[in-house]
Amino acid sequence: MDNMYFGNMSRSDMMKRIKELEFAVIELNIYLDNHPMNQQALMDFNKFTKELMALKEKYEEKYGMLTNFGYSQSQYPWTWVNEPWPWESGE
Amino acid sequence: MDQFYFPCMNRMYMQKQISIPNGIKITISRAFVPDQPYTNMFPLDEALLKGTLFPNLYVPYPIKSME
Amino acid sequence: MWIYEKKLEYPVHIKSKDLKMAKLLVAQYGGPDGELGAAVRYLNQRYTMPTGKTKALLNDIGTEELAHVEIIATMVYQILHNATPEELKQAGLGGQYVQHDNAPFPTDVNGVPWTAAYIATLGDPVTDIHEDMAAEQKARATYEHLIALTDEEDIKKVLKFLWQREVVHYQRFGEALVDIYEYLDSKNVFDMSIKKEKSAE
Repeated sequence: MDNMYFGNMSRSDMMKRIKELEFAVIELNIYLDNHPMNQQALMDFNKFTKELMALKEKYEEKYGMLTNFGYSQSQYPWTWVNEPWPWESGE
Repeated sequence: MDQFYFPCMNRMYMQKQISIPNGIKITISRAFVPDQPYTNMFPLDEALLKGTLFPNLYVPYPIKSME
Repeated sequence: MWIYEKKLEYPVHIKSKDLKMAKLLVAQYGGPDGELGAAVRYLNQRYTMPTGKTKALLNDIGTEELAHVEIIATMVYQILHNATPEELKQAGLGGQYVQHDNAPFPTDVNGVPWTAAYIATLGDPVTDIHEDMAAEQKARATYEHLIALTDEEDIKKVLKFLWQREVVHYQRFGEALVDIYEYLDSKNVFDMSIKKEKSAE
């Protein structure tokens, strides 16, 4: 999961892929809550989570913080206050 | 102390079990939802559009214009 | 502890200015079977779930419901935010304008504010999971009613996503219920009311 992989993705492509990966991870997460011994589900969860974390890090480097309270660093000036917010952009 | 417990085994535990096909035992007066088997996944872009990652949980919406 | 992620779970781009639909969509924001109630219901019930698995499930579905609250509120916000007072009044939202201007507010379709009376917590895990399964079915039916009342594809797409989530959550709660029964059986747990009498001694 390096620059080669995500390098030529546009902002909207990155956000689209983040949504898709995170949705898959939500599904696998609540499946695993009920089936903690399922190895295949766990492997899929870990695989998607790894790609999601790498992609979010790349997105945040370019476009500012996606998560607050210590889950991402900020460039100067503080990017958390950047607009639009999700209900405005719809993303 | 035992006097509080003795006649009062878990009532649910004492209910009768019934066999249904596939060797599954269910108990009367209990709701039963079958376990979802882990089979395959939709491609991730399709999963988000459909609202589930799992083909075996996907219900095509009954209204035609939605398709 | 929760953190916020500055994105929606599912994208919402409502071009429609169907104010009457916004008034109806509010049902799933602050109505009896809406998303806010779902989030509070599950997050409140998680404290007294009997196993690590069921605590995790209530926690995680409760958290996903917060993302659904945001999706519904975003739909309402996007439809309302440019409407003039006169347009709101004509759509039957004069009361909305007087009390809330263009801001989304969690009420049911008739303007009754969200209340904790919409949720239940008995503290008995079998009972609480039944409540949750019923809640998912009620929300599913409500989404079907909302979908029947609009022709706007932008709106229907999002409602359909949320509708399918109700089906998935129902399955998860159903599995959890079977799991709780197995847990109680394996523990040969004694009747809970008797246990309580005993501890009161």
